[in-house]
Amino acid sequence: MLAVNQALSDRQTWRIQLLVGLIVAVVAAGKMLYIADVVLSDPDTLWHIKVGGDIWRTLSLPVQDTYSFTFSGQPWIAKEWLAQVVFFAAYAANEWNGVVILSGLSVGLTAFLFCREIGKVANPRIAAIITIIAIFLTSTMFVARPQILILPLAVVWTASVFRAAERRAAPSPLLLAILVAWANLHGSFLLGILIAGFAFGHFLETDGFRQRTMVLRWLGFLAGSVLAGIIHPYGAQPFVLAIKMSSSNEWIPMISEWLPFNAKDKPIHEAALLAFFAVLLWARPKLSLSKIAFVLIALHMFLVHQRFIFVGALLAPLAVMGDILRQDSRLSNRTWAEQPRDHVEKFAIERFNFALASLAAIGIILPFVLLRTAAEPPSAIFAGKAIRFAQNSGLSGNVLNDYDFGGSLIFHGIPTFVDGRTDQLFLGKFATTLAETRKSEGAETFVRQLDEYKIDWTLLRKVDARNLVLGRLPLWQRAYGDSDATIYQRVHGSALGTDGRSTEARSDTR
Amino acid sequence: MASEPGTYPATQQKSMDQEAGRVDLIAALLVALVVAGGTINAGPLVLSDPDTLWQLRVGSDIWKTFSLPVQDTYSFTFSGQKWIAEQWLAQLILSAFYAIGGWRGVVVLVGLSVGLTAFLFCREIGRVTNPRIAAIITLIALFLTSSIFNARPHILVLPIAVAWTAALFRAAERRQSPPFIYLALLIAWINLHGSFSIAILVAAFAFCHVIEIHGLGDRPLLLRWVGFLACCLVAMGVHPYGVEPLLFAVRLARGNDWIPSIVEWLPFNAKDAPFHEAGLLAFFAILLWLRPKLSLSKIAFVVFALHMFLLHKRFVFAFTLLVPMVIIRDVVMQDFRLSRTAWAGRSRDYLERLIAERFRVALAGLAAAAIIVPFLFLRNALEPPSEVFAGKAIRFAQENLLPARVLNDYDFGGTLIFHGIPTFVDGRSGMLFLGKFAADFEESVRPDGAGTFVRQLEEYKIGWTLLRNIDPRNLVLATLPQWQRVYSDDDVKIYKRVAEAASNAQLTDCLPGNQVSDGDGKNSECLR
Repeated sequence: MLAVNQALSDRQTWRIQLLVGLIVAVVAAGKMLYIADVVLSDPDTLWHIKVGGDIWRTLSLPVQDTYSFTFSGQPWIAKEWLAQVVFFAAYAANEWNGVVILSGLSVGLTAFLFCREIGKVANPRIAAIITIIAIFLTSTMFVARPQILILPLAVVWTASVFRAAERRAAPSPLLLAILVAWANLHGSFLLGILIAGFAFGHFLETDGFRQRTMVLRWLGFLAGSVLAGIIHPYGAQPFVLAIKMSSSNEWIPMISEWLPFNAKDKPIHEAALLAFFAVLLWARPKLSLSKIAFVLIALHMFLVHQRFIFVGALLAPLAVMGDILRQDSRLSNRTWAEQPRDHVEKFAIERFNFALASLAAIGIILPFVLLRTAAEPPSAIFAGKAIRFAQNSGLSGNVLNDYDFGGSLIFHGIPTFVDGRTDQLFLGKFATTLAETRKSEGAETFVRQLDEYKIDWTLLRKVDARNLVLGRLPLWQRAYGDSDATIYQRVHGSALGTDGRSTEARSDTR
Repeated sequence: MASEPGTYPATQQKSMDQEAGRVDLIAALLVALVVAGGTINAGPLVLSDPDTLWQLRVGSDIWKTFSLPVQDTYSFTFSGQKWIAEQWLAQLILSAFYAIGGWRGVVVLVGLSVGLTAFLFCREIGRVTNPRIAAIITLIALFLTSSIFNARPHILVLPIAVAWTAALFRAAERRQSPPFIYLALLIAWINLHGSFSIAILVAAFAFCHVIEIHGLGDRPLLLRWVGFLACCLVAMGVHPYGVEPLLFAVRLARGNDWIPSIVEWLPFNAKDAPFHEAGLLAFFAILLWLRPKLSLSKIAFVVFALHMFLLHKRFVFAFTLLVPMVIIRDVVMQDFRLSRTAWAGRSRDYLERLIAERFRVALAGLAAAAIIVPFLFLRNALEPPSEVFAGKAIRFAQENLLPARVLNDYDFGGTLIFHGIPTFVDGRSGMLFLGKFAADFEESVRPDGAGTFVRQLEEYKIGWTLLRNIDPRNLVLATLPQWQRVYSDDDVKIYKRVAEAASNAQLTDCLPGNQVSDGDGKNSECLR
């Protein structure tokens, strides 16, 4: 082929790849807007926004807890402050719709970047299919929380470090900026350092120590990424916390996102896992030990904690997809680029500007079409009516709330008994006691809690067994109930008497 | 051996083959002994499944009456309903060993079966790799399978499953007709345990492998395979109950009301089973590193076995025992150093020579060890653990509470049947206790299910309850005036109905499940 022709064809393929990446991104982002109530269904979203707002207003970062009454004054840091401020900004701009759009943008960007990376080795059709599958599998964690903002960063980071390793070069130090952003957005940045470590392993395996300067630059990069992890207003504290978290705490076994993978609850993930495995067995890619180790770590993380699905579904493919696709030249980008363009492709090339403009138009219209009614978090975690009832009827004093209502309480400015900030607070005896009160024989512990923390009202799920205990206590009265939440209130000065009496009544049922 | 015939003179080659064969055999026997010994040493664990108890009872009833049951006689809730002892052969064998050696006999039977499994597995792996690797793989595979080593019918199927899979895939690889004599094993499997559909699937995968590798050119070979598969289908009806076990297996494969709540049917969970996860990851790592060339049929088999394991822990053996035998040849082929040929071609090292020369001594030593092991490990009297046996509680009930009806914990169903007491519910939930009964039961054990539980007490005219110590239903019983606790130990509480004191309607009002929170007075009344 002539050089001019080559350049022309390069530009053509570039245009098609760009359009495919954009289409996939619009689809992924549109899906997010379409399931707005799922995006808002995590209770933690609520306290993140509140914390972000407080940081914005006071222009200072908290160093102790002010949102709960049980651990008020204890050291607590907003280690995800940047994500919290960003979420607050989105909320301030356009309320819940803004939060959903921010999440959609982040997922769309992730899909775009992922598709572009896969498109560097695969033809656009395969790249689009792989991207849609990967994004779909990751979608179990698509809720408006800090982690969603790091997905695009994680994709760029992983792709870049492995690309550098494959080219037998060191990654650009500019990449460290990504890690700084990652560290300030979410605590999972240790993963970034780990991935860079695997990429370095791959580099050593393929290139050895032949290029002394490259090895040194890699080592410098790794050291730099550790340093980048502590470029944070709180210094090294988030780093230390992330390490502490990785060795688990009392809450982890109880939080659904930390639960292990379970084939019965997640048949699609199981199918994808089996399919991925079958593809590996069939294509027999030649993987370096470092890449094998990375795939296994990703698989392990997913098997043990579902929340790490993105490592297996988004990041590991970036490292190994090239090796897999190279096993069959029909799938490769180059074979496709050398073929003549088909009708649709030609059309896309010729009307490139038109296609871009229409995609942009769709991108702008989508939020208006899909978010016609203002989005709101589902009442299963927002408990809007119950909280309004509490505020209106002057329920004051300490509330004993369900774990999942903690976010909503913070959002509404009511000090919590417990909430989702369990990485730093509510640990130790508090956690084990709370776990005990939720067991069927924990009624006594629960009653003791009510007295110990001077609880005046409770905000529990309707199905919570603790409501049954409250129903039997003479000092307590049901004040409110809807399909999600039940409020019990302590009746003061009742004829039935004292705190002692309430404990006594409980022990009767043993 | 065969690949480098020119290296040594024929006689020397022959003696080398003999030496290698002896080392192989001793290694396999040693592994079998270790596995069997380990299992026997874990006697209480082997007996820790409540189902063992009713299986023994059913087996001995079949033996005594010389007839197979067609309806339930062991529960009072479903008495007279259709129920078949589809695992009759396993039940007979289990009860025979119990009759001969008591609980020790049962444990020895499990040890024998597991040891035989290890031996067959190790021999099969040892065909393609050296004895050291074969022994290591066998020990790992059997260790990972040990989560299902308890005294129940499936344990007797393990050696059959190993022999069946090995023989069929070997025939498929060698382009041979399938071994029709193995149909006898299939018939045994069908009469031992309901998992025989796995056998048919293994045969089908092996057949696909034949077609994939050898194509459709060899007509007689294909015909023989098709004939073999047809015989397999026919064999599924060779059972005293005819095709009923087959229909039952098909129905069970679609799930039933109890499956989600039974531990062995739970899906794999990396946090609870770290060793299995490590095994799985290591398996992946080996495959990714050695990149064996597998046929699509074999890949499908591996993926299928993995799926079964991820979905139901009880099927772990398909993955840990059957998959390695199917793919080991392809894996070893990727690295000559791992192959048996490489090992057999080398001269024997000191230990190997010692084994080959003192072959008879080694054999005799192993035999002696095999005889001593049960005596050594089963010195103390053995009994199923009291969490499933509840021996003292049952004795108390026999003396004081019978013949009134009992409402028992699911896990005490086995011991009740074993002791001849009709159950409320027990482990035979594959065929009985389904539909509304299961739904009610599930509701009655929930914290808000007290109302359902009290209704159950009345509906089935329950006279006493045999529940675990920690069972929340005991808390409900404690609040009922007509019920009184008459017995408790570390594992069990027994409540007994004492009098028809208050009317039931009044009672259920006060139960947590039916709590009405409109008035204060009513609540405090209920609290007495």
